[in-house]
Amino acid sequence: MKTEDKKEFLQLSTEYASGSLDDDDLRRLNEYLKSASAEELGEFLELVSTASLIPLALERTAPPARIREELMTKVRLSARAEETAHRWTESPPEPAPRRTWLWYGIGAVFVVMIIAVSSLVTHLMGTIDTQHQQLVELRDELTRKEELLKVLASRHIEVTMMNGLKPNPVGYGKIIWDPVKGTAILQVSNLPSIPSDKDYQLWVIKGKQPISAGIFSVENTPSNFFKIENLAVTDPREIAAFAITLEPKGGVPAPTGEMYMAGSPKL
Amino acid sequence: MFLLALIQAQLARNEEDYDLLMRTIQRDQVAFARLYDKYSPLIYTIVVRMVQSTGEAEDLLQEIFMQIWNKASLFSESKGSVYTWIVTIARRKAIDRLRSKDNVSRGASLDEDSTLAIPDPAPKADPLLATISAEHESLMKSAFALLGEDQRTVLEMGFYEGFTHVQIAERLNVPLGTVKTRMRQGLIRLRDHLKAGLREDRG
Repeated sequence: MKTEDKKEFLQLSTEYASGSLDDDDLRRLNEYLKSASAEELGEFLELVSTASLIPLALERTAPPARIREELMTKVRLSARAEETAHRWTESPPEPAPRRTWLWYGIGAVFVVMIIAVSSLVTHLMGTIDTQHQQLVELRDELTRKEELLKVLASRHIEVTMMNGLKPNPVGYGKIIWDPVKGTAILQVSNLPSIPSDKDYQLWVIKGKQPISAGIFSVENTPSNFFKIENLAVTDPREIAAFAITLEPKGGVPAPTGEMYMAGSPKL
Repeated sequence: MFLLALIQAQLARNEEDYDLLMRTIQRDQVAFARLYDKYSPLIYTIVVRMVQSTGEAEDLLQEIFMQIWNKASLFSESKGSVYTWIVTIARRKAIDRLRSKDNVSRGASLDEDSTLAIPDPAPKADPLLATISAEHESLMKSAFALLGEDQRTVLEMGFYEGFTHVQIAERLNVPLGTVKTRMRQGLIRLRDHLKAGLREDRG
């Protein structure tokens, strides 16, 4: 180092050691240090060391004891955090929770799917039940219609018209019957709905003697058909009339209620 | 050569601080606690002198030692002793605090991150000290007492308040050259007094 440079180097070293070097001078000092000899470096360090000893001239005061306690608590927490971080870095147990969460996610999706499928199955089962019920009803209806058609297809059929009486004058109906086989079809229209403890009852009047031909109730539809098996009287000449009365549920041996409809065979 | 001889003589005494700091790097809390016990009275005294507030000084003391705990691995033997490194951190922290309080820019020197381009291998340990001892304290007190008022003032303004030479010149209303001369002469006088004292002890 040239004499002039060394002079400036020592000046900068002094300023650095005393803590009063600005940024530009610090850069210049750095440049000198890069090419400094061991002796020059030693001088630099001597000045820095001397300056660092300045506080030794102060009368010392001990800090409060609680500062040490607080500091060591922070250090313990810091060490624990580092240890935990280190453990995670060394043997990464982290994927496990991630896998767990993945399984939880998959499980949740399955649960949702199962609920959805169950709901769908329940809905479909309901639909199937409803459709099955409709199918049964349609089959019954078809069977009934087929039986009615069989009656209508008979070689010998008789038709007796019935009219509505005072309780329900707008009602009307007919009986189509096969005197040979003893079967008949009853068709009624405009009969009012009846209470649940009541039934309509069909009577065959033989002479003056009413004979029950069966009970029925009506749907809330304009007309209803019923098949009558084993009509008690097969000879048309013996039948004086057909009549429908409103009777207690299940029917009665002899008519007790009001007569809603009646008709006589045309002989 | 005196300098190198002194370095060799003091290396052994420097080992304790060095060992404590190395163990601190290994996260040895007992070693760190010993380092604190050893240096906290001095660092606390420096900081109180600088910020002029015991409350702030307590706060800073914790910050300084947490930095030592967290950045012990940044210490480089080639750039000074453990003592110098710790004092440097303390001064920088306190100067930062002063700067934030009064908005006055202060010196950039003595950066604890050691940005100076000191080549390796450099002389190991500080030439004038290895560890703080009652001997050093006594020498420094007597050396400081020998300084003239002018020299002591500029050294204190630089060391404890972090002012640059220009700022000191402005505040004292003296030429910049005067400040530089007082600073250089004061520091060299301190150094020479310490050298002489240590030489006598080992003589």
